[in-house]
This record gives sequence, C-alpha cells and structure tokens, in this order.
Amino acid sequence: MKKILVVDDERSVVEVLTKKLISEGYEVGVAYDGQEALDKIAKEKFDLVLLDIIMPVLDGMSVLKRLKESEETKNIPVIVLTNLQDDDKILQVVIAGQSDYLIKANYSLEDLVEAVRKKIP
Amino acid sequence: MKIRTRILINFLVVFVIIVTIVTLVTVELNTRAIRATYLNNIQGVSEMRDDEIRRFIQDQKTIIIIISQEDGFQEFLQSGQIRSEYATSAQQLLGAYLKEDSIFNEIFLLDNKGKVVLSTDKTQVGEDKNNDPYFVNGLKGPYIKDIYLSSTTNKIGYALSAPIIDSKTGKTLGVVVARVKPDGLFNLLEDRSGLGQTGETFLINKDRMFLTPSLFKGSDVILKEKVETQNAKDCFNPEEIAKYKDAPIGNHLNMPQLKQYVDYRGVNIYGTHSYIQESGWCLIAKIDQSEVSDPVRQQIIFHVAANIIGGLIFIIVAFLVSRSITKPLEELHEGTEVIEKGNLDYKVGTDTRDEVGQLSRSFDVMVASIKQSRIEVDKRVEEQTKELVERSRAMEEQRAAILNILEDVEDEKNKTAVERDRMDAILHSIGDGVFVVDKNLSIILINDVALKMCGHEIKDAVGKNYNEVLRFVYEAKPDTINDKFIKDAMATGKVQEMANHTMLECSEGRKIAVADSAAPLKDKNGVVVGCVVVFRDVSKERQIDRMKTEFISLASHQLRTPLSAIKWFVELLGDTKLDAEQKDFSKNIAMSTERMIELVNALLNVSRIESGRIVIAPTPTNIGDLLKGMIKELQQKIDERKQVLNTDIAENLSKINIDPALIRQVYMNLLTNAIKYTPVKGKISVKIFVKDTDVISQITDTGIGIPEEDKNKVFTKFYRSADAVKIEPNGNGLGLYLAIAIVESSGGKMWFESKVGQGTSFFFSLPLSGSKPKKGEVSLDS
Repeated sequence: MKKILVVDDERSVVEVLTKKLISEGYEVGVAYDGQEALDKIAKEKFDLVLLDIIMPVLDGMSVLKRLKESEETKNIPVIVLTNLQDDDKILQVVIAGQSDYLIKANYSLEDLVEAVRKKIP
Repeated sequence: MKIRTRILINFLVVFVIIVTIVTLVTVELNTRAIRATYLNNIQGVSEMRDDEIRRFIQDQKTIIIIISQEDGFQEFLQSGQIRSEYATSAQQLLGAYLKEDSIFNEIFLLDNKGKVVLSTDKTQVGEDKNNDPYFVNGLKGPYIKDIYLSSTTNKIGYALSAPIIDSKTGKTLGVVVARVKPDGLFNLLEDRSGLGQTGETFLINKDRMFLTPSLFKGSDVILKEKVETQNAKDCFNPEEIAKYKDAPIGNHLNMPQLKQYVDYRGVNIYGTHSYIQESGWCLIAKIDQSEVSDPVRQQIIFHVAANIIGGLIFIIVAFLVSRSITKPLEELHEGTEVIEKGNLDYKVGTDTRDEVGQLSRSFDVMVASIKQSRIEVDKRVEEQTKELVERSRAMEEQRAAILNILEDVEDEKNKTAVERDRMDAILHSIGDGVFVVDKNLSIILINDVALKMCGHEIKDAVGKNYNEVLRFVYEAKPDTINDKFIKDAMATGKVQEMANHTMLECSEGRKIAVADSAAPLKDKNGVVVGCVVVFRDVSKERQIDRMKTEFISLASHQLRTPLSAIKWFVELLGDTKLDAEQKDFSKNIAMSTERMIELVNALLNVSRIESGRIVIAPTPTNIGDLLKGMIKELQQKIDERKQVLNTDIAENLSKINIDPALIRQVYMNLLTNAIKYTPVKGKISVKIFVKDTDVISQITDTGIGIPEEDKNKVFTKFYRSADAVKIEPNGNGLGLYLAIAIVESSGGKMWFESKVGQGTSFFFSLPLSGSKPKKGEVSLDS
C-alpha cells in the first residue's frame, strides 16, 4: 500500500485530505509543520509528500530544499499544495525542485487524487 | 645659401670628381706604360747582349781556328823546330797577327808536350804549360779560357787556344794560344744604348767574380769582387744551367723574366740573367728600380700640379660666371627692398637680355602698375570715407529717435512689470508644481514647487526644453519618456491627463510619483502657442494604493485557505449518503464557495494588474481561432439559454503577437457578459476585422443596453448598474475593469456603443504589430 505524508498547518485541510486519500486506498501520515514532516520522513518511508508552503516552525520551501538535498529523500515525489501564487521566487524553487504544485482553492479533491495517481501509479 | 656659393660648390664638386677620375686613370696608364717601356728595354738589351756575347765567342773561336790552320805553324811544328827558316816564317806569322790585329796581347805556340816553342814574347819560350787549361783543352778543339790575370804579363785578359793539326796525317802537332785584350768584350758590355742612367750588363764567372767592369765601381772589381746576389746564385744553379744546354743563339726561352732583386751595391733593381753555355759565364742585366719609378712619380707630381692650376682657373671662371648670373638677381633684390620701404618710383633697370633681365623689367612694369592702382585705391578710400562720415551722421540721428521710443517703451515695461509681479505671485502661491512651455517646448515660466521637487534653480530651468529639466517617465519603464500628455494637449488643443504610474525622474536618480494634467495655451485666435503643465507629488497616494493592493493580495491568500477546506469538505459531503434536501443544501454551499473563490481570484487579478507586476508574454496567435475555441467551450451555456450566436471573423487573419492567456481572459469576460445579459432566445454576434493598423474584436449583445448616466462608470472597479444587478445578481463588478486593464497593457484600446433596450457592442483593438513583452512577476488566475 502506498504511503503519503500530508503536511499542512491547517487542521481541516489535513483532515479532509486524509479522509479522501484513505478512501482512495492510500496509507496516510500527517504533519502540522515542516520540522515534524522532516522528523516523520526520517523515521518512516513515504512514497509521496503533499506539502503546504506557509507553516510555522519550518516552512514548506525549506522542507522541500532539505528533501532534495539528501540522497535518501531526494527521489520522494513532492506535490506542493498552496494558496500562494504571486510569489514568483517560490514558484521558481518549486519548479527547480521538480515538484508539482497545485493552487488549493482552484482544484477539486478529484483533481488532487488524479495528480497523486500520476506521481505514484 | 647664396646662389653664387651654390653654383661654386656645384662646379667645384663636379670638377674635383672629374679631375680625380681622369688623374687616377692617366697616372695609372702612364705608370704602366713607363714601367713597360723600361722593363721591355732592359729585357731586350739583355737578350741582345746574350746573342752578341755568344756570337763574339764564336767569332773568337773562328779566329783562333783560322790562326791554327796557318801552314807556317804546321810546317814549323812538323819540322821539329829545327829548321830555322820555318821558325823564322812562323815567328813572322805570329808577329803579323800581333801587328795586324791589336786585340792580341801575345800569341804563342805550344808543342804537343805543352812547351812554349814560339812566342811573340820571346821570354816565354821554353816555358812548360802542359798543365794550363788552354793546353789541355786546346788539344781537343778551339777553347776560350776565362778572363784571368796573366801571371807573366800582369794584364787582364782571356786566352784562346786551338789545336794545330797536321792536315796530311791528322796528327795533333801542338796548340796555338792567343792572349786576348778584353777590350772587345768590354766594349760589347759597355754599350749603354737602351739602358738609361742606371742600367748595366756585366759578366761573372762560375766563381761569381766580375769578368767585366761595373758601371758603378769601374774595372777594379774584375776578378776581385764577388757578386753575392740571388740572381747570380740562381744563374749557376745546375738545374738552371741544364735548361740552356744546346739552345741555339737567339733562343731566349730560358731567360727568366725581370724580377726585383737587391744588387751587389745593396740597391733595389729590376734584373735578369742568362747563362752563356759556350764559356760558362753568366750575363747579368739590370736597372735600378728608382730609375723606373722616378718618371712615374714625376708624372703624378705633374698631373697633380696641373690639376691644382686647372682647378684654380676653373674656380675663377665659375666665380665670374656665377657673378654674371647672380648680379642682376641681387640688383633685383635690392630693388624689392627699396620698393618695400615705399619708394614706388624706384626702377631696377637691368639691361641684360636674359630671363633675369626680363624678370627685372617685368618687375619694373609691375611696380609701376602697383603705383597706379595704389593711387586709385587711395582715391576710392577717400570717397568712401566721405560717404561713411555722412552715413554715421544719419545713424546718430536715428539713434536719438530710437532713444525717444525706448523711453516710451520703458514706461510700458514698468506697467507690465507690475502685472507680471502679480502673476508671479499667483503662480508661486499655487501648491502644485506648475510650468509653462512655449510651442518649442522650452520652459518660459516655472513655479517654486516645480523647481523644488527636483531641487532646480530657476536659472537652470527657464529657456530649456522641459525634458532636460523635468523628466516624466513611466514607472514600469524608467528609460521611456512619458510626455505624451503634453504633446497631445498641444496637438489636440484639449486638456490631457497624465498617464497612470508616471514618475518624475530627478537628475540624481530619485523618482517621485506624480499626477496631473497639461492644458494647451492658446492665443486670441485660438492657435496653440504653448502648454501649461500642472503636476503634484502623489508619492503618498501611490504608497497607500500599494498598501491597499498588498492587503487585498494577502487577504485573498488567507481567504483561499479556509475556502479550499470548505470546498473539499463539501465535495466529500457530496459522496456521503444524503437525502434530497441535504443534497440541495450541499450543492448550494458548493456553488457559493465556488463564487467566493472566483471573487477572491478576481480580486487577486485586480491587485496584480494594479500593482503593475503582471507578466506579458506575447506569442504569435491567431485570435480568430482563439475566439472560436472559446465559443465552443461556452456553447453549452448558449444552448441552455437558446441563444443564437453569429460569428463574422475576417478571413486570412494573420497571427499577431499577443499573450493568448490574457486576451482569452478578455474574450471570456465579454462573452460571458453577453450571454448573461442577452435574454433567452436572444441574438449575440461576434466579429473580428482589421482596421488600419489594428485588429478589432466586436462582441454585440441584444440586452438591456447601458443608460446614458452609467456610461462613464462601465469600466470602473466593482461597478454594477442597477439593471444588471436585477438580471444577474451574482456578478462581482470586476470583469470589464480587468478586461480594459489587460487590453491597455497589451497596447490596445477598449470602448463600447450602447442603446438602451437594443443592446451593447463592446470593441477592443489590438495592434497588428503585437504587444510588447513585459517581464513581470505574476500571471493572472484563470
């Protein structure tokens, strides 16, 4: 069973995503800030990370950067989930980090699951 | 350098070169000729002498042979010297020889034992000579004995001897010996013809002793002095002697060429030698080197002297010739100096007939004509001076008249100064920056506020083109001057607003956001003569604007996060088991959420456009295809409302360079509006056509139309007309605002025509030349 880590400081977002992904047959881990996400990834093996950008303690950009820097984690696919759009610098890093990204409000859950399926069929 | 000196030097140089060459050649040739003459002479003499001596020796031998054949001698010796009559006749015979020919000192006969049996010197008779070479050799044939000092006579001479042979029996009876005076030989060698002053020939014997007298030391050297010179030694070299063997008289092939030697005196000579085989002597011929070279030296001295004398004569001639050439020139020069001092009556007056003479006479003629023209000039100057005096008097009068007028003008000026001061006071008390330009765009008036904004002084501003003083630029494109509003105002004669986001750029690089307008300045005939520009610092307003935009942006982000959670939960809710009423509720929640998200996205787009940070990325696009594609997307909505949509897209539309995502947004807004506000079963038409340099899109609905009082608010943000709200309560009032903002930032224009009750046509143009790309930071949310 594929295992997905959902990282977002917004608890309702984490909850809705967890429910949907479980119903789609995935195993789901959750983290509410960037540091927690890194700790989890260090302990367990995840097949995909859904990552928010604006978070307390450690933001999504730093998490993405560290994941891509480490040999062990750089091949884990990441989908950035954000409502930020104007910050071009963030987008550049996301693109350079070879990560997909979705504007949360503009996509339905079905779209999101579709994107996940593409990454881990 | 003076011409004369130059001529002299040229002459001298040529002369020296020619004379030197001629002298060198002549001396060389003469030297050779002289030396050849002398040396040929000495060579010739030595050859001749060689022949003479050899012939002389032959002659001597012939003489002694003839003597030896005298019958009287034979008879005397046959008789055994007993018969006195033979002895007497033989004695007479000897005496006769001595008498007849004085070359002999003594003649005597030896018997075959070597004993003197008969002699002209009777004291000799009875002497035994059987060891003497003339006896030993004389027995064999004619013999000549070297010159020697006779022990008996104490005289220098040589001896000839020959056998006396019995003509009948062939038996040798004895030997006849003749002592010969050397005078004949000496005469031969002392012949000085062809030998010059120091030439000589002499003989030496195999002991290298002189046999004949020396020119320089006389006859005392004979048999007393030895010749120790190299050529003497060479002459008796056995190899050398061998070459001469059997050479006939007249053959001088073996005689060596003349060479330089040192002779017995120690003097340098040219000499040669020849071996006389008949007698074993050596003939030496020589001449002093000095005699040969002296004439050469004399030759050289003569030539040099001749050249010096010739040179002096030549210089004198050259001097005279150059003088004859330069003298007229000097006269001419003196003449010019005199004339230069002002004496125009002077005449050079050279009477020579050559070119200089002609020049000089022409010069005189020229001076005369100068004098004539000067007289004329003086006359004309006098006339003009008179005229000038008259004119200046007239001008003086005019000046007085002008002064009067100026006084009047001064009064007027004082009056206008009062008015101008009043106007200045007004201008400078205005709180906004104001400046006035003339039709050449030069500043003619400027107030303190305008000056202070960039810290200018009034003297730096007035009279200059306003662009040099106040640079208005676009905020987004700081390199581009934005003075269209001023130019438009002057061109159209109407008040023009500044474009949004205009900055005033100060020289030190500081930029101030400004806003306001330009109003044309007209004269009383309504012709534009300048422009009044009023502007003010809107930095603070701009800052507040920016803060507002940032607030909207941030708020929208924050709003989107809970909205997305709501959206997703409603989506999950839809998957659960719900009754009909609950389903209806959740559907309403989903729709409201969707509208909320759209509103937030629209607000975000507005803030992006307003902040000027939008990206424009033009790509060649066929906008006809773009529009057709969108109609297809919206076809379902059109069909739902049973509307008819006509399209009229110009054929052969070429692709234009625009940002398709942005223009799509414009079409989307206009089309959805048209569908919304056209009643069910109503007609919608879209049209794309080319006009001048633009492509114009027209979207026409058959809706309610826009009432006159609302027309100027149509493109205002959040504005919705009351009628529109009635028809479609869900609009957000941002669609047209966004559409016009996009079109304008793409280089186009947007406008509309509308009649209440009939419908509205929205138009927007895009330049065929395409949009300019812009590197922004953000793109629009779709």
